[in-house]
Amino acid sequence: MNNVNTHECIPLVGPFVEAGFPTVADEFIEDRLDLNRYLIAHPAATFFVRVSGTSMQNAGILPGDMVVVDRSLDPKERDIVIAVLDGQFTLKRFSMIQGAIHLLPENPRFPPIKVESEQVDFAIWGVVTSVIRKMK
Amino acid sequence: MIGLVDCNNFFASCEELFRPHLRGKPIVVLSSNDGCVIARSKAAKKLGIAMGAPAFECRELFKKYDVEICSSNFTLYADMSRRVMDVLKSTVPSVEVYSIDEAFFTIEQPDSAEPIACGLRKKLFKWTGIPVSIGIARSKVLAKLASEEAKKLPSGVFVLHKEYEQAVLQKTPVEDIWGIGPQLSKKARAHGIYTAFDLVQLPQSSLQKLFNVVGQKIVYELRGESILELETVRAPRKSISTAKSFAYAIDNEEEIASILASYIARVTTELRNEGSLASIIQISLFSSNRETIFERSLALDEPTSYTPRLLEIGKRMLSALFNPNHTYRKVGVCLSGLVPDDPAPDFFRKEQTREHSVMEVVDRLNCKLGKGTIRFAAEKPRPVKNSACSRRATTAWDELPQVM
Repeated sequence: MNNVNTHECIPLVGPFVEAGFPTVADEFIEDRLDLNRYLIAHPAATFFVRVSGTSMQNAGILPGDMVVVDRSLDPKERDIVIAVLDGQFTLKRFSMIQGAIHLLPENPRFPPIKVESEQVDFAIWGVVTSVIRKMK
Repeated sequence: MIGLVDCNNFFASCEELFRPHLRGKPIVVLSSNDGCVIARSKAAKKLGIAMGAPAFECRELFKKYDVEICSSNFTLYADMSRRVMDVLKSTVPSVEVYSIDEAFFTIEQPDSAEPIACGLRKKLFKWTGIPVSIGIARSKVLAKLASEEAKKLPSGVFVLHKEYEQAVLQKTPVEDIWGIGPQLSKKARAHGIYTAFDLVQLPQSSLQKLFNVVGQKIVYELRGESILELETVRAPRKSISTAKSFAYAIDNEEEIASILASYIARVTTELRNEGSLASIIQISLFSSNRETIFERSLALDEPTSYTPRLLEIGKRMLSALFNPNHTYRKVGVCLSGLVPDDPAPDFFRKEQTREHSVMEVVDRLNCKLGKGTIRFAAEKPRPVKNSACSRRATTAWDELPQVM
């Protein structure tokens, strides 16, 4: 089982031998909902990155958001990825067009990028699995 | 067979991972207080920057070649190490974490050693971003040699088969054998033993005369006998110590005392985390002339982990060691003679239970609200040179890497 560190008191399935009478409800106690388990499939390969630009705003990823990035996944068509291009992190949509990797923005102000086959300084850093935005 | 995973230029690789513009560039990581070089990227090694070189000596070189200088970011390195080890543990059967960037593991199907190692290396880099080299051989000591070979290969993997052991042993000088230190190598050389192969050839009688049990085990391992077992469970520590250089030379006892107090507080916290008590405390004071170390050890009547008592004792020992005519560059404390802290209370020692409760509260608060929330009066904050520390990209919400 993945060891996701959550410092939460997780009630165990009862019934326990305690003072008082066990209620019928004890049998139905389940683990509380754990965001770590919900959002992180591979903890050792998961990183958090802060978004500071607007290139993906039409996909609903805004500056100030945090993206959850999983390095263990291989990018699939239309996945949102963090890539390294010319020594910079970039957040784009991954797409294969006519056998070549393309990194597509979701903002008309930004140009789509075609990764040339000879491109030396290019790598997929990880696949974005969730976007987290705090409202307060 | 036994494999050794060894991260390549680990600290420098951690820095590169979150700062991709540094890839391929010369990077050095400096020790605490930016003292000396403790890690170099491949490009920095090529420039001839030596491991352990004092930073001030390399200043010109750093400037000339635009070397990226990083202060050590152990929070980041520790987290990245944990990730590497977690992936390793979930991929292969038994793992012994040997150091922050090395781990032994067992290979159950020796015939598939190479593909297993290649797959493991690829997975480790993909999942964690840290490049590693993997050496595989018939024993731990040989696996260490194999991983040195692996580092030189573009594939990053080297399986030392039995047929090639002799060739590798013949070109390995005695000093480069894991477990053979400078003194033992000198002794070996004095007896005409220059390479690992020479060692392996020694008749049993000479071997027993020259080396103690530990040395003999190393030789058996060099011969391909796997004697040293994989310790998958960490044995309880025998001592806990810390000693760090000062940012500048100090000749003032009070200042050194407050630095020592913070070290004592830290090691006693770790002592309690281990569930142990210490019965011996040793204080070391290093003079600026780099030649003299002043040390004093004290055996305690009663093993303890009660910080105030150890602070008091440490302070007294320091006073005994301190000489106002000297300047000092470093102080350290070592707690040893560790014994398990027996949870069964001694009913006649009310004081003991009170001490336990006090430390429990301190530890809980520091754990919950952050290290240093509760500090002892003796620990005064001190200046630390940490001018170029990178972000704690994996452990601090406000230090995450950014993307546009």
